[in-house]
Order: sequence, then structure tokens, then C-alpha cells
Amino acid sequence: MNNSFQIGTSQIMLISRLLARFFLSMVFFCFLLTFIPDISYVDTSKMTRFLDHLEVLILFEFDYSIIYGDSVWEVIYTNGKYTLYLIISAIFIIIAMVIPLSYYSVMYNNRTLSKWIDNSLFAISSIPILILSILFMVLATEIFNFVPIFNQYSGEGATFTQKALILSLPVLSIILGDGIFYSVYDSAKDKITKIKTESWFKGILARGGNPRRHIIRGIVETLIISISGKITYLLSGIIIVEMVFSWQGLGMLIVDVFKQSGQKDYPLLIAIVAVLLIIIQAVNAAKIFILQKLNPEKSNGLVTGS
Amino acid sequence: MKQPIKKYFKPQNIQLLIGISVLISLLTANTLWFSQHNPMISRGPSDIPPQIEIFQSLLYTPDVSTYIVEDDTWDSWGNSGGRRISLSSDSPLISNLPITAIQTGSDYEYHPRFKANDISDLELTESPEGMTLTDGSIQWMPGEHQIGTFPVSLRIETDSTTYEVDYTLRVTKEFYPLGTNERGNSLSGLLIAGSKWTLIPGMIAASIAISFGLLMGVFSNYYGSHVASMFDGFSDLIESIPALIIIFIIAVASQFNMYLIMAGVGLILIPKVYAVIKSTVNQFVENQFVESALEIGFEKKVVYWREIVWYNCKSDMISLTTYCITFSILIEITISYLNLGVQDPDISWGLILLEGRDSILSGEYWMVVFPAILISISILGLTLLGSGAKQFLDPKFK
Repeated sequence: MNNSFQIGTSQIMLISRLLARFFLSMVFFCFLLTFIPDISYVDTSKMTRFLDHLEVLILFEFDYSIIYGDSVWEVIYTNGKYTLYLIISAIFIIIAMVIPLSYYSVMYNNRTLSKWIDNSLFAISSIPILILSILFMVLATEIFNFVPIFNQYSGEGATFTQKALILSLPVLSIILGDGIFYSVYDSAKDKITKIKTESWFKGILARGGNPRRHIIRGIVETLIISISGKITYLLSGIIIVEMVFSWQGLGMLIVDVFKQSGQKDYPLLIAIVAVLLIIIQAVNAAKIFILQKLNPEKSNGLVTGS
Repeated sequence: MKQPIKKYFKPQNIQLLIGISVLISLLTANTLWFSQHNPMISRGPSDIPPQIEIFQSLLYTPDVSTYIVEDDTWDSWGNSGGRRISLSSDSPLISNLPITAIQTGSDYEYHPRFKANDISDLELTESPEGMTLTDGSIQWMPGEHQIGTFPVSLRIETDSTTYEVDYTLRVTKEFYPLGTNERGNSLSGLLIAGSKWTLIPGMIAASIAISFGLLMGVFSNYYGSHVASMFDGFSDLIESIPALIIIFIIAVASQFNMYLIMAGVGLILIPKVYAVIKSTVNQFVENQFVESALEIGFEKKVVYWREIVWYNCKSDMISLTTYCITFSILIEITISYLNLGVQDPDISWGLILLEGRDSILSGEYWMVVFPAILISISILGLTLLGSGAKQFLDPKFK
């Protein structure tokens, strides 16, 4: 049996497993929706409602959004891109900050600065995302004299620097609040500490080799696992920061739908949750593919089921 | 032999101490609220900044207007008849801004420090009754009847120019240490009242999560792989959808009933508790002392509940309980902020933050800063309590 055939099989298995998981989650979500009181379903049984919601999902009935009077996909495309900016920037900043900070903290652990970084990150990690984003808003208004809300970002006159500044506050709130960043930083630190004790690493240091290259290569796997494990938290955080910074993304759409009185916009809600779940499953799939590439033993393990 | 005091300053003891202090504070706030109820949230003038001096100077920039008086003429009533040119809303002449909100019967003192060195004369041109200017310092003690707003005008003469600095003093009958909101409610009273949605709802969520998670964690090992895979499937299902979205559904479905929402939070936390207990049970089942106990003839049930759960999951359960309470407080604050939780006229920390959001633009930062600090301290304290208690109870850390 050649190696490429094995990887192909494992990929098919993986994709079908993720698809099944996605579909089951959506069915569960449609079931939960039947409990929401709605004037258009007063005399309808829960089962009929459940089947109605499933029909929307399976037959792709996303032509019309009740709130926006537009195609559901159009609404999701318009808002979703801003959510995607937040997610991508958050992941990028986590990686960009974790690598140097964890490296410095472990390799120079007796320095005051390293201890200070460690303690500050721990203290910040216990601040909730909501609180952190409100405090960032206060600081921006008081110190920089601007209100970092979405209108300022999407306004025609906004320059690239202003946009970057306005984008950075919600992103920093998501990654620093609720311990998302600290948890990734902590696992990276553990991994570097482990690498430091390995004999091959001591050998490299003794030969005068560059430790950075080996450490970065060593922590990639840990970073991927811990960031992908935090993706659900990131998405929950995005809902919060979008409301605080009036960011016109998917999170704001969800809250709008739930706040809507009378008949709810179920097609829009189902489509948004489907998009969020696709993001979660896509990140999980990317994680497994990258780990397989980094460590081929894992792909063999997947086929044999060990 | 006397133990050295240093022995007690272990990190886990300090964590435990901070955590217990926060817990006692929350309990006291809850007791205060349930014993006094509405009178605590006194109604007064709206938007009063914190009356504790240091907080007021940090969180509030008073409206101080500075003018240049061009034509220095005065009418028989003592009013300036000259042309006044407004310089700027923030004082370009004075480096320290005055305190503008005080209580009756308290001492008021303002000693303005000037940026210019050539001050030749200083005079109070408009002031409430009893206010004096002595050695460059404005002093006053508002009497019981002096409640309301009082304009104060200070005339400053330099060698070349005459300036006038105007500001308004607000005197209240009651003392508002943390200020009031736009409805005139005392913020300190609101914060105490909001604490009622912390421990009790948290305990509801924690009791559901811990009891079901514990049973599932033990049964998954006790009854074998079929039961374990059933529980794993349940956990996967709950965890596959972001928690906040499930909470939104429960909130809307329960018509914003916080107790039902907290029961839902408990349900969402079951997988977390289940995973921790399951891993601890699996780890101990393979230990030699468990195998020996079974071989000696102890009942399997007794070994599981006494040897594994009682002696070895205790520390996990304590830290998980504080985690569940912390999580439920965060959820309550978040959904109330999003207007999907506690509804007005009820009070919650999340609602206070929501009300204060608009005041950020007008510079009334105390409306969000105090609740934010209080929430952060509570969360940090409960997290430290969990971590400290785990280390205190777990024999591995001793």
C-alpha cells in the first residue's frame, strides 16, 4: 500500500466525519429553535416546526431575510467579511505575539521583564472580553480622542492607519480577554520548556547552533492545536466585541435576530450558525491536515484507527 | 516548635485569602441587598460624578470655561460689562481642575495652580454664600440648605491680561461615593443591588453542572465503553455550537428568566465537568490501590465513590465549582449587556455597563469604569479561590 493512497483515505474519512458532525450540530440547533416562542408558530407542533427549520437547511431556502428584505447570502456576505477580518487578524496576532513572548519567557526566565510579562498576561487573562473591550473604548476615547466604532472604520475618509487602529481594539479584546491568549501562550511555554530539556536541543546549544529555529519548528504543532481548540471561544468573543464596538459582523446579526420581536428571521439565523459551524469545522480540518503534513505518523494513525 | 511565619505565605494560601475576601464581599453585598432592598438605590440628581475626590479627579473632566476680559467695565450690580472672548473649554490658564461635585456639610477647598507666573490679582466675582478666597485658595462649607448648582467665577489678573474662569459646583444632600447615573441612581447602590445576580444564579449553574458531570464522569468508567461513548456524543453535541448561541436561545425561550437561563448554563457546563472527572477517574482506576481494594473484596461501588470520588476528585470539584460560578457570572453580565438577560427595571452589572456605554462619549467614565473594575476583581478573586482551594486540598501540591 503506498503512502499517498493512505493519506487520501484518511482525508476522505476526515471530511465525512466533519460533515457528519456539522450536520448533527445543525439538526441539534434546529431542534433548539423550536423552543423559541414565535407568533407565526402559535398553533404548530414542535415536530412540524423542527421539520420546517430542517427544510430551510436541507433545501437551502435562503432566498429572503425577513429583517433585511434581501437575499440571506447577500446579508451574510456583506457582514461576514468583517467578522472574517476579526478572526483572521486575531489568529495572526496570537501567533505573532505568542512565539516571541513564550520564547523570551522560557529562555530568559530569570529576568525581571520575563516575570513581569508572565504576571501581567495572567492578570489580563482574568479580565472578561466584555470588560476589556469597554475599557479599550474608554482609553481610546480619552487618550486618542476618537471613538473606535464600526462607522469610523467603514467611513469613506478613513485612512489605512485609522482602520488598522480601529480594527486592533476589538481584536486585542478578543485575544487578551477571557484567557484565550494566555492559554495558547501557556501551552507554547510548556512545549518550549520541554524542548529545552531534550538532549538533542542541549547538543545544538553546545555546538553553538541557533536555538530559535528549532524552537519555532518545535512549537508549531502546539500552536495549531491550542489555537484551533480556542476557535469556539474566539467566535463567542466576536459576538461580544461586535456589540461593544458596533461592528457590523455576523455576531451583531445574530443578536439582532434574537432581539427581534414577533416573527424571527429563522433562515438568516440558521445560515449564520451554519457559517460559524463551517468556520469551526474548517479550522479543525486545517489543523488535522497541517498536523498530518508536519508529522506523517498521524495520517497513518488515522487510517488504522489507532 | 514555633513555625516560622514565612511558612504560611505560600502562593496557594495567598490566592485562597484573596479569593475568600472576594467571596465574603459578594456575600455581604447580597445580604445587604436582600435585607434593605430598594432604599439602597437612592434617587438624587443625575450624572453626579464620584464624590470621592481622587475618583472624581481621575474619571471626570469638569466643564471649566476661560475667557479673556477685553473691556474691563463693571455695572452697579457687579457684573462684568466688558467683552469676553472664550478661550477654550478646557482651561488653558489653570493646571489643576477643580472638584465640582460635593456634599452639604463637607469642606470644599480649591487651590488653583496657574501656568502663568505673572499673576497680580485674584478675585471671586461670583460665588455661593459663604465661599471665601484666602491666600489663593477657595474655601467653602455648604450649609444644609445650600443644595443645587452654584456658579463660581474667578477673576485672574496678570500684568497684561484679565481672565475669567467659570465653573459650576453641584452640591447634593446625600453622599454618592461612586456618583450617580443619568436617572439619578447611586452607582454604589446599583453595584450592590447588581451583585444579587452573581452567587445564587452561579450556584444553580454549578450544582447542575457538577452533579450531572460527576455522575456522568463516574458512570462512563463504571458501566463501560457504551455508556462512555453515549456521554461523549452528548458532550460533543453541546460543545459543537458556540455556548453563547445556545444561551441566547434559552434566554429567548424562557422569556429572559434568569434562573432558567442559569439552569441552561449548567447544562452547557456539564461537558467540561464530565471531561475533568472522567480523566481523574480513569487515571485512578488503573492505580494499584484501587485494584488491591477490589481484590480484597470491597464493593466496586464503594471503591469508586469513596476511594476515587471522595478522596481524589474533591479538589477538582472545588475548582470546577468556582469555574462554573465564574462562567455563569460572565454569561449573566454578557447577556444582560446584550439586552437578552436581566431586563429593566431589574438591576444587574451587565445592565449598568449597557447604560453607561453611551456616557463614554460624554466623558462620564465612572459609569463603566467602576462596574468594570468590580466585575474584574470578582472574576479574578473567584478564579484565585478555585486555584488556591485546589492546591490546598490536593495532596500533590503539599
